[in-house]
Amino acid sequence: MQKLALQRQVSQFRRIFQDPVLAVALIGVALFVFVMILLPLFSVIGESLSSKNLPLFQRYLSEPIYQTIIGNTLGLGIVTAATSTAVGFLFAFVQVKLDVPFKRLMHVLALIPIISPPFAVATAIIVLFGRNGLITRGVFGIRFDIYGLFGLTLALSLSLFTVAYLTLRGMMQALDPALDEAATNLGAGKWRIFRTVTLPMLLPGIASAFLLVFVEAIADLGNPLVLGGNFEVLATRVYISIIGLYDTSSAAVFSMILLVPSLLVFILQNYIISRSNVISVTGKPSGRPQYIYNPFVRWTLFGLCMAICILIATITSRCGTSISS
Amino acid sequence: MRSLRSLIFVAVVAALLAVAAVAIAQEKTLTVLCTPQEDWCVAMTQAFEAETGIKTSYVRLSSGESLARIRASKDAPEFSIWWGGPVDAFIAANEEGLLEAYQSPNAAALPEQYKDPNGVWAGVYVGALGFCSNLNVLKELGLEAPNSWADLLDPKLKGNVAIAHPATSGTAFTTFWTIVTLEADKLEAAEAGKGYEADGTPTAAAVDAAFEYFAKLHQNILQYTRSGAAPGTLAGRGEIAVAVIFSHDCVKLQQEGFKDILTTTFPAEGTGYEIGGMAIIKNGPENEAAKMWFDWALTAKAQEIGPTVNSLQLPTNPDAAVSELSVKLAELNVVDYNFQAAGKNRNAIVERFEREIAPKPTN
Repeated sequence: MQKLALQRQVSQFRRIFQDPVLAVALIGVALFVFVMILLPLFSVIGESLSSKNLPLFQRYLSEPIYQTIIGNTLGLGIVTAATSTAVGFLFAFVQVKLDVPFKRLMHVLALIPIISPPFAVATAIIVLFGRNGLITRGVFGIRFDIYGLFGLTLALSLSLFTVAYLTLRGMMQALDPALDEAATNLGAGKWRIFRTVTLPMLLPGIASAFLLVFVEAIADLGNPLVLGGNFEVLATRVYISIIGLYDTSSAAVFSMILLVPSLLVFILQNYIISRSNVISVTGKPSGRPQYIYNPFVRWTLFGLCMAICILIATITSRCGTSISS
Repeated sequence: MRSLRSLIFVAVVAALLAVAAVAIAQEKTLTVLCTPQEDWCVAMTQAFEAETGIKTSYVRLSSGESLARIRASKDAPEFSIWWGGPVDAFIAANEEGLLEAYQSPNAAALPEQYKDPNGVWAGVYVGALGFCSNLNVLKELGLEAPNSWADLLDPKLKGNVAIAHPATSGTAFTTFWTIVTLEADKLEAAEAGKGYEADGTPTAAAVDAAFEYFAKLHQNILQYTRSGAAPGTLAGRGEIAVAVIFSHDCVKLQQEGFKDILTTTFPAEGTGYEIGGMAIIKNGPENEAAKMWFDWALTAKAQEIGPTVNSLQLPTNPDAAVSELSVKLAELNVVDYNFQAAGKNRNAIVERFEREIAPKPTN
């Protein structure tokens, strides 16, 4: 049995090398992954775990200052992941389950943050909502303090909710409407269906979106650099260690501390995805998903979605404004 | 047939890549590591290229970043020459053997204090530190523009002061060393020998006192920016009340649209100043062109380029015209800034700052 599997693999390899384009592409990709991802990763791990740097772990993990920074990083990750997933869920739900105008426009606006460059969103947020912001100051006349956790959550959620949106939209579209119909036939109302059928089915998707955003949020540098105020995160520590001090030891150790939660989340996420496959065995969706026509639900969600869209549009239109860091 | 076609395709792509690589490798350019503000770097490299015909490009990095970068690439230097930024970082770089001495014939014109006797660095401009304040924000806070270092510690300014990070910015390090000098003067006045060592270096006690000052100032800092002049923009936009920056950077902002919003003041106790340095990077590429840049940048003509882009630092060449807008050093109370000692202590101080001050949460 094992021999057969081995033979199959060998023959597969042989087939790959019969097609030169595929072979070259494969070697290219393998080299790329090795040089650009594995090699730097291993050198960081190697540097951080070298005997002279081990005491640094002890120091960074035990001193209150650094515990605060680690706490800040994880806290920012969790808050951002929660808001991004909620907003992503809202957008996906409106796209799939509601019959409202401007759906196409909302979809396009939801994709914009993914292409806007780093720093742009953060600087635009300062211009709009900063202490002298066009909106906070210009419209409401208040001196609002955007620097810190709130501003960071706002900037990061706006940039990262797209990830949650795309994941969840795909899953919602793949949900079999037959399940909804079956539940309706058994006498369940829309809210009950949402609670007991839709939500449990989407749980793996929600978890996976949450974790993906979490990893992206704790690794982000541009926003904390511009909007952080005195809210320090690990990524900015790594940056200053390298760019200002060329202190590879500290940078490697900070990176390792940052890598651990990311790796844990990666493993957790793979586990969740492998479970979600079991759920989707229910089959291909048959027929179109049923829309929800309850006017209260429909227009509240639509309003929320439009409000966020306006926010995105305002911020993106301000992305050209310069403010130095 | 299909596999032959794909083979040809692969070969063509590979050949194109090789040609591109050779083309990039053959183009000879002088790469300047440029520390002052972006538009001055552009004006300087363009003028040099027009004058000599040598293709010149630049990379702009703040002072501390430049030092870190030169240190990182010392086995295969990327840059030929480093132009601008406080000489403290140049002296620190020289301590690590990263720079090449060059006795430029044009350095003779410079006053003694603006050049290294061994030709390691030469000064290309001079400028004083100052406070760059937003008048509107000050009014709202009910404050006057600060006139002393102690004014910056006013609790009313909480979250309304910005300065760069000394690890990346020469401006911020100059500020730090200015406080060290003032504290050393204070200690020396109390008891001879307490503030300064026999060789004129401020004592460890003076450095500790400066750290105490910055720990207090930390409570009022909104954030430490990467580049030295950036806090000025924050003040200009009304995000903060006071920026601690070089006064010429504040004047530059005033010239560029913040005229009635920003005001420049100086601390009465004495302010620090920088000598903008220049040095050739050891084992760097295009050494001959780097020397040509070195000579050229000391000429009066090259030093008159700054004001055309509102970079109003004072020239070091006495023959260069001084803009009316420039802040004259002679009219200020400046501290006796020991550049050698500053350069030698720079690394230890920024590391300690990064450890003890910057990451602390404020309350």
